[in-house]
Amino acid sequence: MPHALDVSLSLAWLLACGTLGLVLLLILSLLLLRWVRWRREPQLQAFQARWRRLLMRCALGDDVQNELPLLQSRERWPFMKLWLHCQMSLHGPARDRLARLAQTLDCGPMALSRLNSLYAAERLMAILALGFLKDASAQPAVLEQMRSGGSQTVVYAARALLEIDARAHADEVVQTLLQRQNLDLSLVSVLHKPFRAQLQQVLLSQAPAASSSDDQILPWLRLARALTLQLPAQMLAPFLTDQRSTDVLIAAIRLFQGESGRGMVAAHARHEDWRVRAQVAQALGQIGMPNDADVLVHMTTDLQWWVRYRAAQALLRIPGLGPQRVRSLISTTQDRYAANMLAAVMAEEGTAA
Amino acid sequence: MNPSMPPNNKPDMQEKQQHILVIEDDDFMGTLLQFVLERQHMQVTRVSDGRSAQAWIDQNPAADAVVLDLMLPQLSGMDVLTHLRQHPAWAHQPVLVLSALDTGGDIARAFQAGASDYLTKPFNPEELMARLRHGLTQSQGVERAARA
Amino acid sequence: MMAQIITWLMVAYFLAIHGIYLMLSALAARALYRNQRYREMEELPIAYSLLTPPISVLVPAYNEEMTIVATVESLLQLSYAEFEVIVINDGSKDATLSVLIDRFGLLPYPEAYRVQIPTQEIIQIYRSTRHAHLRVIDKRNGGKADSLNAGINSSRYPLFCGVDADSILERDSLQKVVKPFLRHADMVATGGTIRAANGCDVRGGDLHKVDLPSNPWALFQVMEYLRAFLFGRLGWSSVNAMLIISGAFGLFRKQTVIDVGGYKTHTIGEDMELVVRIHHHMREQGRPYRIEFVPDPVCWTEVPEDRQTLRNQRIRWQRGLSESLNAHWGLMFSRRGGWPGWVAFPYMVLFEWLGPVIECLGYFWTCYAWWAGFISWTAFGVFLLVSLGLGILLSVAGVLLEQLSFQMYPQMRQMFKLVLVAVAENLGYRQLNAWWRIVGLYRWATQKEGGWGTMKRKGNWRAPS
Repeated sequence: MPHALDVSLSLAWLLACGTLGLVLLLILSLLLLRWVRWRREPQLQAFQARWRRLLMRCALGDDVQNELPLLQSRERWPFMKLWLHCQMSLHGPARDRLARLAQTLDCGPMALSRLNSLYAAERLMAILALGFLKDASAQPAVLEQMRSGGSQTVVYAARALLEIDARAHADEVVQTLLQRQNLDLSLVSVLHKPFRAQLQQVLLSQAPAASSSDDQILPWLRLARALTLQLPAQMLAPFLTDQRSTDVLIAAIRLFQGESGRGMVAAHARHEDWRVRAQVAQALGQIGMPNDADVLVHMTTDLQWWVRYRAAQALLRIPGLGPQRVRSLISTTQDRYAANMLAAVMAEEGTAA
Repeated sequence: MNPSMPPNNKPDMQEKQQHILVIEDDDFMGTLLQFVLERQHMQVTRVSDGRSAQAWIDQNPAADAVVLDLMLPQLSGMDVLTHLRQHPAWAHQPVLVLSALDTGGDIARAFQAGASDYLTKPFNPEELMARLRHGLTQSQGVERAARA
Repeated sequence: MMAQIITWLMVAYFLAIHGIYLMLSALAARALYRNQRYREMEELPIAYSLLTPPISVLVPAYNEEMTIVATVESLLQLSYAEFEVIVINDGSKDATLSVLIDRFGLLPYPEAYRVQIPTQEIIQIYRSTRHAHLRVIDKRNGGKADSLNAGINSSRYPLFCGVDADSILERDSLQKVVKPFLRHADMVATGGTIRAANGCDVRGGDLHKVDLPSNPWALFQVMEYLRAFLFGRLGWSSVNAMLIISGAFGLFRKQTVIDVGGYKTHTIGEDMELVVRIHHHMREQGRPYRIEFVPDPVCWTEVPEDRQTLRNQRIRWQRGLSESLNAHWGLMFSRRGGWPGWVAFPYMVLFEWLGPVIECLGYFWTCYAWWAGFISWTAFGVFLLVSLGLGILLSVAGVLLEQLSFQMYPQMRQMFKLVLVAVAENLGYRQLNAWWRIVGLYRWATQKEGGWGTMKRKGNWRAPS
C-alpha cells in the first residue's frame, strides 16, 4: 500500500471523531431544545392567561393600572402581539382604553425599534401597533414606511396612519393606493374597512375626468371597488365608451348598480374580448330587466363557456321572466350548447335549494 | 363620555341567570365573548365548531340566546342556524350573528335563515351587550305572551 | 493503484451527494425560519379567509369503495372560504360509484362540460343534493392522469388541487398551501409536506392524534419523508428549482396546466412529469413563474408496511423518475434553464437517477477491495464514514429541524425513537432502497411491465364516521 494513503490515517480519525462529535452535538441540541421548551411553555401559558384577562378587563372599563405586573423585557413583544390581537377584535371606546394602557407601558419606543426588524411579520405588526397607539410622534416614521415600503407594508402603514389621524392622512393614503402598482386590493378592502367612509369621500373628490387616460382611470375604478364605493350610472358613463381598454371596461361594469343606465352595459355584449362579455352577462344578472332578455339569449350562444354560463344564470335571475319563458327563448336559438348550458344552470340552482 | 361596562355585581334577584350559547371557532374571540358575557353575570357555554354545535343543540335544553359566528369549521354557521330554527324549543331565542362577513347579501341571508340580529367583527362590546339584552327582553316578552 | 482511484471516486461521490444535501438543509433552514415568522402574522384576526381565491379539489378514484366516503367527507369539511370537490370515478370495477351515490344523494347533472384536455369518454356527471359543491364524474378507465384531466375540464375555479383518494388532509391544508399564491402573482404551483399516517389516530377521515408507527418499515419511511420534504423539496423550492410535487397533494394554476397540455397519460410518474414539463415550458418561453413548497404538514398518507409493497412502490417511483427525465432532456443545460436546468435537473440525473447504481457499485466494490486487500483500513474507514456517517449526521439534523419547526412528535420517547431510526436507517434501509431503484431503472430501460401491485390496504383504520 503506498504511503500516500496511510498518511491519511490521522485525517481519517479526525473525520471520524468530527462526525461522531457533530452527531452527538445535534442530539445534545435536541435535548436542550426540549428542556428549554419544557421550561418556557408553562411560563408562556401563565403570561397569556394573566395578561389576557387584564387586557380584557381594561377594554371593558376596569381601572387595572395598579394591578399591572412588571413586564419583563422578553415579555414585551409577546405582550405587543396579544395587545394587537385585542385591538383588532374590538372597536369603539374599548380600543381607546387599550391604547392608553399600552402608552403607560411604554410600548411606543419598542414598536418604533421593531420597524427595523429583519422579519417582515414583525415590521408589519410594529407598524400596526404604532397606529393603534395613536401616537402622533410616530407619524413621520410610519409615513416613511408608507412612502418607501413594499406592497404589503404600504397597506399596513396606510391603516396605521388612518388610525392616528384619519382626516390629516386620508388624502395621501388614497394617492398612494392609487399610484402604487401590484397592491393586493383585497387586503386593502379588509384592512381599511373601518375607514371606508373617509376614504370613499376622498376618492370621490379625486374622480378622474372623462378625458383621463386608461392608466389613470383603472386604478381609481379598482380602488373604488375595493372600498365598496357606490357610484351612480352617470358617473360611470365616461368609462364605458368603446375606446376604453378591456380592463377599464371590466372594472367599470363591475361597479354598476341599479337598473338605470344598463343600456350602457348591454352595449358591450358583443365586445371582442370574452372577459368583457362575461362581465356584461354577470352584471345584467344583477341589474337586468325583461327587455334585456334578448341580449342575454344571444349571449348563451357565445363560443366561450363562461359567457354562456353567466348569460344563462342572468336569464334565470331577471325578475318577471321565469324558467319556462327562459327555456322557450333559448329553444328559439336552436343552439345545442345554449340548451345544455341552460339545463346545467337550472339543475345547479334547483338542487341548491 | 365613554360609557364603560362595570361588572354586574348585583344580579336582579327575580331573574334567573341567563344562559348564552357562544359558537365561535377562534379561541381568542371565544374567550373574549365569554369574558364579556360572564361579567354581566350570564352563564356561558362555548362550542368551537359547527358539528359540535349541532350536537349540543340536539342534546341539551334550549339556552336563552345564541351568539353565532358564521365561518365555522365542519359545518357552516348558516347550516347551524337553519338546524337550530327547526327545533321548536329554539323558535324564539334571539340569535345574534357575529361575523367578519359584511356584505348586504351575507346579512340578508343570515336574517332569512333566522337570525334576529347581525353584528360585524370587530365588535363593540357595549353594543353587543345592548343588542343581546334587547333580544332577550323581546323574546321573553313573546314567550310570556304565548304562555298567557 | 487503480483500485485506490476507484475507491476515492466513490468517496468523492458520497461527499458530493451529502455536500449537496448539506447545502439544501441550509437553504431549508433559512426558509423554515422565514416561514415561522409569517406564521405569527397569521395569528392576527385579519380574516384572511376572505382574501383567498376559490379552489377545485380533484380526487381521482379507482376501486376505492372502502375509503372513498371517509375521504370525501373529510374533504367537505375543509376550512376554506370557497371550494368545490370533484371526485372522478375512473371506471371502478367495485362499488365506488354506488357508495358515493348512496351516501351523498347524487343525481345526474347535465353539466356543460368543456373539453380543454382530451380524455377518455365521460359516462355521466353527478351532483350532490346534500352538498352543493360536490360533483362526481363517472368515466371510462384511463388512469390517474386521465382522471385528473377530466377533473380539470369540469372544474370551475382558477386553481385546482390534485389529491389522492387515500390522502388525509389537515383542516386548514388549503389555506396553508394557497398562501404562496397570495404573495406572488406569478405562482403556478405549490406542494405541501406529506407525512406518514401510519400509527396516527384517524377517525372518519379526521386526524385526531399524531404518533409514530411501530412497524419498522413505516418508521424508516417516516424518517425518509422527513428528510425528503424538509430538506429536499424545501431546499430546492427556495431557489425555484423544485422538480417534484407529490401527487398526493398539490395545488396548481389551472390555466398553466392547460397551457402545457394537462397531465400526460400512460406515464407512471405523472405528478413529477407535469412539474418538469411546466419548468421546461415556462423556461423555454421565458415567462416568469414560481413553484414553491409549503413546509407545513398538510397531507397524511398510509405508507406500505411490508417489504413487497414498498419494493414495488420504489421500483415504480424510479421508473416514473426515468420517464420524467427522459421526456425533458431539453431542459438540462438549456440556455434559459436557470436553476432547474443547470442545477436541479443534473442533480436528479446524477444523484437520483444514476445515483443508486454508483452507490451500490460503491458498496460492493469497496467491500470487495478491502477484503481482497486492494485498499487499506483507513481508506475503507473513510469510505464508511462518508457514506454512512454523513448520512446519519444528516438524518439526525433532519430530526432537529423537525423539532425546531413543527414538532409533530413532541414527546420525549418519540424523539428518541426518531434519533434511533435516523441512525438505523443508514445501516441497511438506504442501501436496500438503492438496490430497488436499480431494479426500477433496469425495468424502465428494458421496458418490462412490472406488477403495479395493489397495496394491502387496511380499511379498518379509517372507518367512516
